[in-house]
Amino acid sequence: MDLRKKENIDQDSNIIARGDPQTFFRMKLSTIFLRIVYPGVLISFLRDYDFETAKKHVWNLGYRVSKYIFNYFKPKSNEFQKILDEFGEKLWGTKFKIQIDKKKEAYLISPETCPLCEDMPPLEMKGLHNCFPLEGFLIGYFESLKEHNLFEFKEMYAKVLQSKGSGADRCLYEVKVIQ
Amino acid sequence: MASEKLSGFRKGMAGLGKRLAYRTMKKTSFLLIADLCNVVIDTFSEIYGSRSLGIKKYAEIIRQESIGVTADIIETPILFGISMRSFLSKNLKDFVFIIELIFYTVLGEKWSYFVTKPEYLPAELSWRKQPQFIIKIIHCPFCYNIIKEKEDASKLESGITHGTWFAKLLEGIMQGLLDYIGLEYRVNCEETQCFLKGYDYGEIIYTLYPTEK
Repeated sequence: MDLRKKENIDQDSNIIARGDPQTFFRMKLSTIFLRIVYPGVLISFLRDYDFETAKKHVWNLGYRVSKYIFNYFKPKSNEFQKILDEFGEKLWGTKFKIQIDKKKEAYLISPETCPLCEDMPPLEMKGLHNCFPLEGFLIGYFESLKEHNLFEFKEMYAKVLQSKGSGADRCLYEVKVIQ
Repeated sequence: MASEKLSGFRKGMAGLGKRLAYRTMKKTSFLLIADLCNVVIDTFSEIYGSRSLGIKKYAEIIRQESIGVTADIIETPILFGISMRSFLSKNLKDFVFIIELIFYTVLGEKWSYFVTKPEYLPAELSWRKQPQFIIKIIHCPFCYNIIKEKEDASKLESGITHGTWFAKLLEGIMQGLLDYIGLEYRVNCEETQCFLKGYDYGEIIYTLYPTEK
């Protein structure tokens, strides 16, 4: 191993030189890259844990990513639908179609394309979808908005109803925001 | 069949193809994916008990996945039905162009904010006496926010850096390319310099060891 060592360095001293998060944020990466870094992780959780624990780990991926992302991406609007529009355009690389269900209790959200499902190996498991981390992501991100008084709500639920990665014609998420 | 050497015409075609391919591909924020990778490392570190083991576990998974995905990437049409297969060659000097082509295809023209063009060292010039490629990471989305409190680089196992998993991703892609072309090498890729170790830039070195026939 030829890893060269530097002695007595302050690890955090070059943090600015490592790059501008906003520049990285605006750079667009092909979702082919996701095929390398994501499905193997999912399989590893399913192989090493019982189904419920594996699901929890997958959900947590999205939840924890939302906390990272909140540090550099805050929406301009405080309206739910406009926040999702911004997610779609700036983060996710897609557009969300948003409807309100017949009981007027929940938003039904469907992305035009889903980076976690399309071009990915199919996942045929009841209750677990390729885009399952999105549940955790939405909950985590809106929690952060609430903590910073950028979006008001009392409770919030998110659920992946169907997924392209599991054979559906489109991904569909249900989100309830209780004010 | 990959050609023995890439002609100027093929390189020109590939230059056009990479732009078209990137334009038509589905894309998402680079930082979103970088953060996802960091979250996976955080999770694996908690599960397996240390940052070193977390990084190593992720690196193992990534290497296998990238070898498999590379063959699909090569077969994907990028220019009027022509796939990347047409832009591969058996000449190692051409891999400077091929590596650059891959970075452009997945990251677009801004790839140069992330890494430099690879440098090729023929066996006779490399200290390991094997062909090598060297890439500098000039800005790093994988450690832009990793402070010592989160990951103390000096406490990582010898031979492990924060970017070991990314080195293994590049290793897997290169191994996939060489296997596809039929060049008999075993690739080893290491992150030899890392921002977290105090360097002004990261450095990844590919070394190609001939395999025994």
